[in-house]
Amino acid sequence: MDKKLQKIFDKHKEDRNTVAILQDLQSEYGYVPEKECKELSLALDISMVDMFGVATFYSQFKLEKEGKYVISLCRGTACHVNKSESIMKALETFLGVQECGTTSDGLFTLVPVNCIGACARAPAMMINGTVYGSLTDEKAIEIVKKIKEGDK
Amino acid sequence: MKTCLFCGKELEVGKVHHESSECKDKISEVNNYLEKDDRITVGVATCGLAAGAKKSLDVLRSSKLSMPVDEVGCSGMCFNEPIVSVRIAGKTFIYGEATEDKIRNIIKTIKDGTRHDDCFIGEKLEDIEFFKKQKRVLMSNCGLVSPLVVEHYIAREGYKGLMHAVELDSGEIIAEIKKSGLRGRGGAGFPTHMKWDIFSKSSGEKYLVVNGDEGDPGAFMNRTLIESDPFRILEGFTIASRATGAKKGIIYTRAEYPLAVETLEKAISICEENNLLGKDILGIKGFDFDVEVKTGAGAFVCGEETSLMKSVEGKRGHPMPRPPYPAQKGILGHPTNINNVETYAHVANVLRYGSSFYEKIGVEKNHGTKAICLAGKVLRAGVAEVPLGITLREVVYDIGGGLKNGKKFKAVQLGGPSGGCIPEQFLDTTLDFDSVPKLGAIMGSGGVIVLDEDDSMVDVARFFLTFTTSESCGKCVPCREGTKRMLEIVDRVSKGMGQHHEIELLKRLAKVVQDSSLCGLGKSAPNPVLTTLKYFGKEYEEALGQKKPNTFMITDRCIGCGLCKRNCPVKAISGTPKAKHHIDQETCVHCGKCHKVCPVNAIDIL
Repeated sequence: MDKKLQKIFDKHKEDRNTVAILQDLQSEYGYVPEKECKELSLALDISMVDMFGVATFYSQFKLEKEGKYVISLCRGTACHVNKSESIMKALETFLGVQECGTTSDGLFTLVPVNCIGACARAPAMMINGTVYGSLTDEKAIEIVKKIKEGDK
Repeated sequence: MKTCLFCGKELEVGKVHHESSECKDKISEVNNYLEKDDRITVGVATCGLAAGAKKSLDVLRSSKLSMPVDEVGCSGMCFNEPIVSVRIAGKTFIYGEATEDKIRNIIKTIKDGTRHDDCFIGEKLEDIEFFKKQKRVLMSNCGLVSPLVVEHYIAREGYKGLMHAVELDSGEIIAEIKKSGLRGRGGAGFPTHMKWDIFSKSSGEKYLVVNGDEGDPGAFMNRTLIESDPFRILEGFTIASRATGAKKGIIYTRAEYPLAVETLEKAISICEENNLLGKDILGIKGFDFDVEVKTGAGAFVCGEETSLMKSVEGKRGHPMPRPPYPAQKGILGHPTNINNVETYAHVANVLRYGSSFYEKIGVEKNHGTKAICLAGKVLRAGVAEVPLGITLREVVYDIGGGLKNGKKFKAVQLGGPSGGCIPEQFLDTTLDFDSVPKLGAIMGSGGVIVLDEDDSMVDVARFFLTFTTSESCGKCVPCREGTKRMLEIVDRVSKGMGQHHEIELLKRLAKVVQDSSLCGLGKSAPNPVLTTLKYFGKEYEEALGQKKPNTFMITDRCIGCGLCKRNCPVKAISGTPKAKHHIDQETCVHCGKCHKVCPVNAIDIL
């Protein structure tokens, strides 16, 4: 067991809280990796069925590695009536990915989320914790473009 | 708190500050700082940040002004963010939409001590239209204090409620809550004192939980409260611990609210440092209360209390049948009491101002205020605190300022995916826990989404069903399958491919899902469909009217019996016996008779 995994094991060997274990795994590795998950499942005596049952139940857990920047586009009610669907399409075209897809350079992952609570500034999106509001198709693309350029 | 935050001397048991003149002077100094002295505040809650408040703040801080520049929470005027409030020589200028480019002009006027007219919106909050019909007791600190400075909170009568609570015994605190008439603010409006009463009688290890899993799209009042005034929630939570004897507290909130989680965690550690949480709170032996923050992992159903408990235990968030109630058997089998974020904040107020103060606000059986979130096609979107019993018209037009872009009002959507759409003729309905359900909607957590003439109600119903279908946990069949089939019908109707008889089917299905689902998610999932059908049935009719008529085609299975030809009312079918027949599409009236009479089912519907 590597160091990172050992730390998670030590933290949860008493409570064996699957959600917390997966949250820690995800924050360490960026996603829930299958191999490490198996190791922990054996060590903590939690069946893999339970592990993956929980991992697939909650939308937060990712079973694949995500891009460096995760674009969470809000699909809440206020955003929906303010045309978030069209922004999703615009971003899909711009990035060349489908919903939940990651760009081939591993830079961006585009995910729809239920509500980020920025309804008053709908439509909104969150990129790695930063919220951008009052979007239009062009504005959303502009923001992503800027991040892309800034990353070079 | 071992030593007083204001004078540094040792504190008496059960107090957060002294009653000495020295302390009182210090407290009024803080209050003067907050309300009278020269200072600049910038709202940096999530909505402010989304509008670019961080940049405005940076510009202000780097321009070396002679007064302090403070970060505060959100006053609720999300539509006007970033909000910068400047106070010079006793005069306050509140500026809206003070973005980076505009802030430089504002800075010039600050230096001259004058007013910049461009983005000026008022001198006092009370003068601004958005606030005129509001009653602010819960949000009185929002946008004024620095959220993580406990001295600010205490100076504004914070922890007075807890100081009062520790003088009472458990029964007396619950009696006070009962007298105030406080009902849970999470949605159902269940009387808080009843929950607490049952819970306080259980013994052994038990858990108190704050439900901050604000999953309703369109609701963000909990986020605003946490980000702008976290100590009020923690004070109410601690009072609950005092009243019920629980020593463990869990605040369950959403991972989608990173700033709120961070604020809560910091606020908790500040409380622990100052003996406001942890062991022997306020120096009272045995008054222990440990609080931890747990973030949800993104499942709407976890706002339901039994699934929330499963999620806290680390399992899939499947709801459980009740009884046993959480107060009997909850987290890890221990008694558990769950209340909404806002409910706890109200508890702090009830104990601070007394139940009689609270009782006076609102209407019969609905006392106090409610934080609501206005969003959608409304001019002024944001968080408002209103007395229960205000009419929807006042909310939409007086507070919200009517509709954006001069469009015509169509409906308000109350209560998110579990709520319903209310048309114009019911705008004079009062907003309270008893009137709204009569219209088929629910108060829910208080999300008010305004829809205009451009919004298709069939699409709104489809949107909410898409949401509930994807968020249904899958445990019970009525919800898992029922919502899916309902979505299929609404989807067909919205695409102009629905059939008239399907509307009846939709209604029947909705009834079954409502009656037989296990938890609140399923029971309330048909509400958006039922209310749109009831009030906007015409739109469904129109969508059905656009339906293309069925096209009938005779396939190779035809045996040439001629039955269809004989039955066609318009003689559109031709063909010789024992050979494949043909329908002339120009003449066909799409009655479907041929399809019905065909003995070998050779006629397809396209």
